[in-house]
Amino acid sequence: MRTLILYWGLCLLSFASLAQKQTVEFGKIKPEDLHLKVYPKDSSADAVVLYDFGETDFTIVGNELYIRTTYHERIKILKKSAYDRANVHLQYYWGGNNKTEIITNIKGYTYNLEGGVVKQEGLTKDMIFDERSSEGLSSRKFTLPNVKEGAVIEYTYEFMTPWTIANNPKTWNFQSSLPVEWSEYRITIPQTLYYRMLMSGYLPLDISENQPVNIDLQRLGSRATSYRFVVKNVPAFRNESYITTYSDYISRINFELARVDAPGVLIKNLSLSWEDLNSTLLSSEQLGGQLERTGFLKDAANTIKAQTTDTTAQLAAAMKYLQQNVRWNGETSIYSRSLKKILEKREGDSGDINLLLTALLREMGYDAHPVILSTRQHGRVDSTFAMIRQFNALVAHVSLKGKDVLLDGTDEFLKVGMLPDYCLNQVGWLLHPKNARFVAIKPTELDREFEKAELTIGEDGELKGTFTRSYGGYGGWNARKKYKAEGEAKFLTSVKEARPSWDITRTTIINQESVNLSMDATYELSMTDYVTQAGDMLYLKPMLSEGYTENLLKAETRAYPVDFAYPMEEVFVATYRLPAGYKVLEQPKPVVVNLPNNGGRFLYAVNVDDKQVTVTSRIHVRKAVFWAEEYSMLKMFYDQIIAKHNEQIVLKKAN
Amino acid sequence: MRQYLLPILLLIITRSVTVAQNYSALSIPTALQIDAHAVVRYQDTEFHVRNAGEAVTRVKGAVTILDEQGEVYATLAIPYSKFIKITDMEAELYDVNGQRVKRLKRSDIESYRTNSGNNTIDDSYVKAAVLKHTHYPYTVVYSYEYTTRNMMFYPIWKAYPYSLKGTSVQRSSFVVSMPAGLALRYREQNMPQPAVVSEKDGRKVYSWEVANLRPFETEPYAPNIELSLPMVYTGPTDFEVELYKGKLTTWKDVGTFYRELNKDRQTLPTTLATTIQDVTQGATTPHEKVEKIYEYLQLHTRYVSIQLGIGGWQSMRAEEVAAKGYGDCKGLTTYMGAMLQAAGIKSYPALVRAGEDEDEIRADFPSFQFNHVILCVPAAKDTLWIECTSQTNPLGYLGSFTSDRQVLLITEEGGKLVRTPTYQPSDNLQQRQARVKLSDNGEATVIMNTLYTGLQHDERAGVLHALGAEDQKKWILKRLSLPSVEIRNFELKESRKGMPVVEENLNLFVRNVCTRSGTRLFLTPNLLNQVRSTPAPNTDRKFDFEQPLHYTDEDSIQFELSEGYASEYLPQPVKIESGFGSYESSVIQSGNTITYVRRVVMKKGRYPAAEYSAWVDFLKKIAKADKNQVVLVKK
Repeated sequence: MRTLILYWGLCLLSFASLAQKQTVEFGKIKPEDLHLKVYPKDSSADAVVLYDFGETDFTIVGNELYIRTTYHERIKILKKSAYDRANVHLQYYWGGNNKTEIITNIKGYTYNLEGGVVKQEGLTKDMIFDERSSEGLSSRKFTLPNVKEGAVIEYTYEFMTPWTIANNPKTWNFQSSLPVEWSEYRITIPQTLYYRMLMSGYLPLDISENQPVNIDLQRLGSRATSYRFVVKNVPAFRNESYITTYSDYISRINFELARVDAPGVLIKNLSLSWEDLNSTLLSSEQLGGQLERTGFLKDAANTIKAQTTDTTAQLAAAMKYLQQNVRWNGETSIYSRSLKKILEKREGDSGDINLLLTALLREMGYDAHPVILSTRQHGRVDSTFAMIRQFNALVAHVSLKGKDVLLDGTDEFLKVGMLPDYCLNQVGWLLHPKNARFVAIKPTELDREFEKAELTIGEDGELKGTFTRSYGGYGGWNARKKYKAEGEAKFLTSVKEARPSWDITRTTIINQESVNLSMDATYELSMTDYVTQAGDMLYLKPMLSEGYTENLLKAETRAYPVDFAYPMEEVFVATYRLPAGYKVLEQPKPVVVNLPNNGGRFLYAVNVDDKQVTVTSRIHVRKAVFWAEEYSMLKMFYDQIIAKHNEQIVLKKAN
Repeated sequence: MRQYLLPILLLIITRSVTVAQNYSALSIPTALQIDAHAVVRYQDTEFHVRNAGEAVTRVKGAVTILDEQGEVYATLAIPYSKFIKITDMEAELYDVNGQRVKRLKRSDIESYRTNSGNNTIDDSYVKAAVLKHTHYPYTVVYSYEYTTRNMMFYPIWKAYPYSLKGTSVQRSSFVVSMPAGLALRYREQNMPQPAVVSEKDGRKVYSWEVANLRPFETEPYAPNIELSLPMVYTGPTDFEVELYKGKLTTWKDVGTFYRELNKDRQTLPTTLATTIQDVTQGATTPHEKVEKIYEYLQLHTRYVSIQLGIGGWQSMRAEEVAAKGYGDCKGLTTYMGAMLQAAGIKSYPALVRAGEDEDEIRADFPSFQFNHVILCVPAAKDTLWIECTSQTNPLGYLGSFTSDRQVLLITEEGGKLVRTPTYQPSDNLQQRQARVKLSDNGEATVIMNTLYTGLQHDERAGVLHALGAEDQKKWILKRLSLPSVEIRNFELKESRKGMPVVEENLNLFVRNVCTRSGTRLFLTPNLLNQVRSTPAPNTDRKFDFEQPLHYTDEDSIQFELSEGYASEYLPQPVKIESGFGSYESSVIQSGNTITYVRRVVMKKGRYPAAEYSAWVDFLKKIAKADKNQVVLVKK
């Protein structure tokens, strides 16, 4: 597979004349599309989108401004597994008068080839269903008739969104889970509305045109620009492991309203530049405004300050105060309606909690500020465009000795400076009256695992002794969460199930709560699976069940970066006391493997003396993100670890 | 798979008392707080039958929530639909001392749709309200009332309102009040006391009560916990729904009613009769005819679930299915039955509780316990069972979704319980042959042929039909538990005659198949089918346990060694016999070739708790034998 280049930027600078007529007409199908058996450009596809078209304009109905988009989709069904494509499910917002999205003009056809003749069957009223909820998201569904292998289906509908619900046109995705022959999006924007258009993904536009047109939109004026964007032969996006989110990889175009220049319209300037975004949010009642009234936290601040004078301890105590007094509801946001009410309600989202944390730190005398960021699921932040929409989470920031320290009060198992994994998405924006800027969001912790075994080998091959696993950094964060959710018994069950030969006689788990230390699980045990006895020889598998046996990077090639979120370190040290009279006959050779560009290192060594053997393995993956070009090196790195981890030590009884 | 047709009603329950209650959490007996996240203080449920066509359910209760995990009880959710109208819904929130904090307002209640998948269309909703407090413990007191006009279903009462771990019940009661002339049927399960029956105002009143139930705790591999909990199933003898009237005391009645509800829906468009004649032309036996018609069905229809109103139980008309080319399980089964009839072949719908992990129906309590329907073509020998919602199933094959269970056949004489086929260990095979060419550095080329049959074929058949070549390859790659592998070539083929088979042919290049330390090569010959994890031991096992599947795995792997190595160690053959199944493996060397043979047979079944340790031991022995290695040394 080829490696793709990320296209990332604004794309409206072509002045080619907009002339090409739309060649695909609804209801008129090319017979050759019905003859298609396999899509030659992707023989794996069970369906192909032959034509995906959207056209947006603005219209006024009964004094209300609407964003109107007409969709037209034509899909070739190649296999039965694609039949569900003929069940169309549209979601719309229902909120009563003037606050409801309207779907109209639903039309559809199914075309089949029957005895060499094209049979066209239409969507009828009894195939269209409306599932309305009392408020909020409702569904319009329709099911096209008589879909068979080889059929072409086609449908069109019009979507009207009142400006009172959303003032941005919906994102247009050029790419989907099916290959698309022709994806085209057109939009006509009045000159009184200024939108930022943000193109992202790995595919270039094949056509990008615009031209001035005349419209009649009352106070929104009579002049507009029409844009046309086309991507041809769009490959299907196929999910891979270790990616952030689908939307970071597919090609699409996004719109965000930046300015309205019409008389009598309240919305004026919306985050045109980063400075504008900064001041918009700082003066917003639900963000900066909340930080102006923090007096209700004075008592809490004083109590914390009275406990300790150490800076880190104070920051930790402030986080703990939030964790104990406001439960996180699992949602993220960058706003809070009322910090005071949240503290009374004792429940809130990450915007509520971390604005409260910022406020508390200010009351404690710290120069604390909010940092807004985008979670991994929400997608990458593009620093070239100031769009509030790019952000969906908020954390607190303080500067300690010139270093940025980020704090999150939503999770009891985070320590000072550590953010939850879903927040590790490259960059955030520090909201600050004077010193606003981007801050790098780098993982301050590794996923750390340290294993230590002290075992005695019996002449019968049984191993006896102790085994300790320490969970640190993100490993500790995950282990603590699992331990808390499941309880000790279940936590141990999963350890035992994966290691059938372990007979654990005693378990000690410590530091389940102390986030600054690693959580350690120590087992006193015997094991029978790791030594094979053959006459006067013993073969020892010194990595026990803890070594790598399968390469997690399964695919041969990779089109997108591998994103682990955080770096990782795994250390394994085992000491084996030999049975009396036995000597080491053969042992694995030491090895050092390095990843290029200081990306990581694997060290493995065996030390032998008279009475015992010590095996050490250390894997350190320093980078969190590897480019597609580095994939094969990374895969090979793990292969080399597997080779070493499966080597054995040969012991022989001296005569 | 999908196709659920009959929304089985689950009722959550309460009653309305005006007596001042003590809602202080401090008064909960300590015994009920141990291991508990929530305590049902009381819950009183009354099912008041007005007449054969309508009933009122009144529920009153109070739950004290002790911690975050008990908080599901802070959400009050009441389903409603065309048949169920909620007439009252109230709730209050009390703090730890029993002081009232809040009363539910109308504006706090929201409505949601309950089911809205991409290919599902239905009309069931839920009204829900959340009553959370800032400090634990707190108590939610609730009462609600709704009328039911679908009297096919009477409630199933559960002593524990939710099957949620960590719930104790201080007191819970259930009352069914029947008008004169209507009889109640019920089935008690694990109830400490049988029903108390009394008469009041000419009505018959049945009551049950439980008290001081500690949280229940299940164990892994145990049968469905619901079978061990106190419950009461209730059912009508005579009922009405919309314009239909039914009797319901026997399975025969259940079938008669379903038949009535779905009669006169088999008419086909006239043109289709000719089509069927064309389709079946040349078919000489009835079986061949069914085969042709099933092929036609699979080519011309798709499954879409449409469950609106009585349509949850009533089929679309065959003509409508013919015109639209889609239907749900009822519609497609009706359509298939109608086409068979046109070809002179008799068939019956069979109601089934479908699902790989579903329990058997309660055969001793005739009622609508089903969520799916299939078609049965009876024959003296080789009765055919047809899944009409699948476009890919081989004719007569049911898979894990509907096989091995009791189903209700809808015949002219009403319903009859019969059993769908059970696939035996010898039906569900994984048969593998591989040749591995090993080189010195641990790399190998592997040529492998595997046959998957019966229930072991289902998943791969799904992959074969649902995924394109590239995704099939990805899927196979993910499942190969080899150190590092490249698929050079692959092929999936299926055979749909008799017991269905998927054949998988792989040509692989593998790194690190064996490891070399100095002069020795270490090889674990069970490359691909190791038992890696086993159930955790438990000497104090309380529940029975289940093995979910009959199956047989056979592996025969031939390793070709590079020149110059002699074996230093070959594992002894292993043979393990037990009531749960059997295991054999052996390694034989002949010249440069090492042959590994393994055969495992597992028996589906439910086994007593006392045998749990023996079972774990059996599986651990297998896990150990699977790790056996061969040691080769350079000559």
